Amino acid sequence: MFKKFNPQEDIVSQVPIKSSVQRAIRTQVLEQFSSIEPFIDNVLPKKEKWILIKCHGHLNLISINYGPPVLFNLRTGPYFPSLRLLHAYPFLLPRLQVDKGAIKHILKGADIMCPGLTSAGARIDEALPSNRMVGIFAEGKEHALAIGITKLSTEEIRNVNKGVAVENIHYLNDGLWKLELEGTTSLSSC
Amino acid sequence: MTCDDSSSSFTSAFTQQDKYPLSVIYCGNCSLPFEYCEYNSPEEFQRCLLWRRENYPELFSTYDESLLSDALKNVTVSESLTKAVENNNRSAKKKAPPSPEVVVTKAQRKGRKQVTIISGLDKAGVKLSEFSKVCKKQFSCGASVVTAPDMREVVEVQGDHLQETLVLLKDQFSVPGEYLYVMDDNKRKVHAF
Repeated sequence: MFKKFNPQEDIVSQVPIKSSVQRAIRTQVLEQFSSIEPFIDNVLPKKEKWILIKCHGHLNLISINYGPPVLFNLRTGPYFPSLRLLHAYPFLLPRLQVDKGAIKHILKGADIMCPGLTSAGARIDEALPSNRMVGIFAEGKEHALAIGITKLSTEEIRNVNKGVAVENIHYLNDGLWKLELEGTTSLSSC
Repeated sequence: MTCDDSSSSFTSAFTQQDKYPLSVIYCGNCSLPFEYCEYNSPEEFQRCLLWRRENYPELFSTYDESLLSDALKNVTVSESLTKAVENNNRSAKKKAPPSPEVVVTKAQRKGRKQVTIISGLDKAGVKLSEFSKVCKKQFSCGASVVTAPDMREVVEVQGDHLQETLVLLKDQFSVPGEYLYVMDDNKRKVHAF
């Protein structure tokens, strides 16, 4: 989604979010990621200014105090955590681990193929349905390298073992990751 | 560094609630977590390693040392710094000339109406609002400071005042002639004088 993301062209507007809308977002995020509840005030502090960054293609980013975007969604769809947020709270999303060979392709924005999830270095720890938001981790690495949506259920991934298994939504060093860099030195807002 | 099995951290991460948010150290060179530096281009990775050696020597293992190319191995910190600065300078020179550029363009508005757009004034040390005021007086037309699509502030003067604005900039606002550029029909920047 962010492979060809150009902040100067793709950002339409940046507006502060009303507190009533903030509450709605907060409840939706809590609903989606119940495990984040003890930390919700760190992730989405009530007192700070929330900024809605609207982009082309009905893409919305949410940033706290003009910091790096924390969440994003499409139209009114579910909220995705940004990779920085996932790095800080790796339990937010279910894990899928790919083997080493897949890393370089994922970092170029490729979708995750079935063999990358079924080979020796890969792990599928929990059974997941299709169309589920997942964090992509890698063999021998601690941190997530991408966030995606499963196109097949884990069972199908094992059985079919061919073609796209997870659609790559947000990966390290894509447009959104780089956008987060601008004007940020500390990661305290994450 | 990269070969250890992560399965231990896999499960233990869930038991220690207190340690969140995890603070992840990102490479100052490529902005990725350290473990992904190696997926950059080889040259970039060398720079990442140098950065890591300077800033996080405790995380710079002998394994990393072996990845560092021979040419850079014996470079001391200060030398590598100057090298990095040199590199930066070199690339900066290639990309953008340091001197400010004032670009004057004509654009079509509704029908046959034209506007003159002057961009890059702030870098040349001219106040945009002042310049637009003088334009209004001199050419008796509308002029205003607007934000261009690329989020830069530019002055928009109503009507075709291309040559006049150039002269005005040069004489009254003492912008050196070599800073002034005109956009020609092929959308290329050409020196005005």
